[in-house]
Amino acid sequence: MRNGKPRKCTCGWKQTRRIYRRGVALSCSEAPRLETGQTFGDLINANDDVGLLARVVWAESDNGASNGFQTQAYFDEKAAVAVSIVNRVDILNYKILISNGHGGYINPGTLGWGPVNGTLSQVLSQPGQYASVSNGDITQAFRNSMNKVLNEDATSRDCIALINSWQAAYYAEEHILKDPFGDQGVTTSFHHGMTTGSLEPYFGTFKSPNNFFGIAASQVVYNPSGTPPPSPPRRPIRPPRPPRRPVGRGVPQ
Amino acid sequence: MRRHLIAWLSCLFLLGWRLPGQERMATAQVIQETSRLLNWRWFWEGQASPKTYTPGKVVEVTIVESPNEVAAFISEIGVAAYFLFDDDKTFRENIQSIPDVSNSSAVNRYIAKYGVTPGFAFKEERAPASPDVPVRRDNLTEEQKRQILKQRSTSFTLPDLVPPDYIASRRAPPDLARFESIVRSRVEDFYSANCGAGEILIPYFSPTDPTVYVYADLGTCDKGIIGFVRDKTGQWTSGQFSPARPPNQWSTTIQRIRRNTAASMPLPAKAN
Repeated sequence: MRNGKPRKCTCGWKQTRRIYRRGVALSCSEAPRLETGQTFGDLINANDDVGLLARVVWAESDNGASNGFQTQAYFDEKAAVAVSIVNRVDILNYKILISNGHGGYINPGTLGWGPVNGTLSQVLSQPGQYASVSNGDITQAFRNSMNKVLNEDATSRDCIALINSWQAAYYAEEHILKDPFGDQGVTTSFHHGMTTGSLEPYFGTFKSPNNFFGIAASQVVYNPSGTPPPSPPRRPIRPPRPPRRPVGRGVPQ
Repeated sequence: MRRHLIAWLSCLFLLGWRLPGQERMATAQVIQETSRLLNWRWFWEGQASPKTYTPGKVVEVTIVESPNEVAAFISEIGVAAYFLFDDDKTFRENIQSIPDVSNSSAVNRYIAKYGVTPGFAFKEERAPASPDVPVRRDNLTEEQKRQILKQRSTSFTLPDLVPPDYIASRRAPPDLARFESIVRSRVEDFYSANCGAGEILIPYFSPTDPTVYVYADLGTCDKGIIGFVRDKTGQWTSGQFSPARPPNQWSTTIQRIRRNTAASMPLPAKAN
């Protein structure tokens, strides 16, 4: 849903059998969208939020070698990568508030995830946050590999992993994909290694090199309107204290 | 009658069948393999566990068996080991951190995720109608899952952490030449001639390691790690390239590979 209008679903792919056009097997890039007539190459290379997020989901997830192709861990990892990025955007846009434990909320602009009201592109371009991203898109190494996958058969495992990455991105952007760590809180980070800050405890992994971290459920407040929370009332300014009397000196008799 | 029974049981064992209630993996074997995985993780990833690890300390391990996997949970050190089976043979092992504070909560989480038709999980009533979108479906009740999954607990003495034998002996990995060619082919997926000069470093490893980490210097295009694992058929398969840049923390792994390199290959490949 965007601007209150339901978008036409562009998520069904003929994956189960080989796709032919005039007797020739189609490449991953040429795989057609029955609903829209677009090719998968157009969608995955699109210069929009879903295209960018899909490329990053594919680059940042295992694609089945460690966690098994199309196992639940494989789908959950893709969902967790996509949702964690969208959650950061929602936090920067006050749709998810983080309690500071003192009756107020953490200023999202101080988290290092981007500016307040930041966009998906700004979130992904934050220095030191996403290893697969450079200059606002996946790095040249991932681009080289993705282009090779797009030239493979449309029914190859590599192509299906790319399509599944796009699906995860699409549904995460639509806010209908479940956060796989939703029972623990809101997933916000992932990387290889276990180092994390106190705000983002370890949530778990999906048998791949990525470990996932997030904001504990007890600190999360959902705020779908995106209205910034009121600032906590300021303490009244105390009047200056009167000067102290010197100690140990009695009143002269 | 007794002879017939013995003959029948012998046949069962010869055919690799197990009696009802028989363990897929003996407790002693789970302990031994988990010790090996802790050692492997400590050496190649820099720490055996996310929580304090004290060699010699006795901790409780809870083992859960399903028809195709054995899982061992040690919440006291925040670790779980998994052994995946195919035709009574382990084909993949994995060791990972768990967030749970007790073995029972780790087991409950495992049970909740067991026995589903794999797919994306959607918010209430929001799953798309398209038949080409894989949607997660729960097929079993909690009771059915608990009947399938067998649990047992035992104590476990945390082993001393020492480098694997093949590191100390500098033993060349078996069939290294074949592995080299698989690695080169995979690294070249991420490499192009305009990346400039780079190199691939393959460390000493054992075929029983859960993952073999390979370092790929892709010149100006990137630097990072690719993990190689074996699939059901014993063939090498590889994961995604993982850049050696923040927020990833690969420094210990890269240092270990550099100090224990079994083979190095230049990029681009030298013409013969």
